[in-house]
Amino acid sequence: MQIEVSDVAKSKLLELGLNREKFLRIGVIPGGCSGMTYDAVIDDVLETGDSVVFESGDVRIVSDQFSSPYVEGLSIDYSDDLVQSGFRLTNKRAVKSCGCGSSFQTADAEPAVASGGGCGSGGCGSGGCGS
Amino acid sequence: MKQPVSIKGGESVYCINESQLKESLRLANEDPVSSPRIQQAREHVESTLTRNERAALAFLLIERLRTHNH
Repeated sequence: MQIEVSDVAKSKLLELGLNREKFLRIGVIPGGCSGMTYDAVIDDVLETGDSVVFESGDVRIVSDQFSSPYVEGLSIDYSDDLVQSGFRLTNKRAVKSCGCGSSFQTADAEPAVASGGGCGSGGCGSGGCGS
Repeated sequence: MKQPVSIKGGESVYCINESQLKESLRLANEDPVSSPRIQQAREHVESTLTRNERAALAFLLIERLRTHNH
């Protein structure tokens, strides 16, 4: 599986505690203007159906059965630029993404929810926008 | 680990839609009264603050605009 993790992102993930036990779990959930959004959490419990989709030293990325196909082509980077700070998860296979970059849609998958409605429809913050 | 820890920084807040952005750009670039005032403030801010300081100021202004009615 083709996944890219920049060196700075790897360093930040290790700072956050990734090791032989703790890994980064990436899931895809319906939401956002473009249909799907990535969820990324540090976890230490492997569930049935999970697979390791990336491994480099102590940086392991795990994804569940549903999410794995959408992780193909994923790039993870980190920036301390306040305008786009933190981890950036982008997918080069995405044919559509919302303005803030938090949700996407791939060509070979229909979004699980209808798109439209601006950034208030889920992924960009269903609570803060007030829309 | 009791609860997985998110690395995505939480939900986004204070989205700006296309109509709001278009009107903002009109005020900033075309309005005969507002444009010079906005451009003067922008030039001052851009010449005195770092990129992250400008971002912090922008977020602070949006926060204050949404929570204060003046």
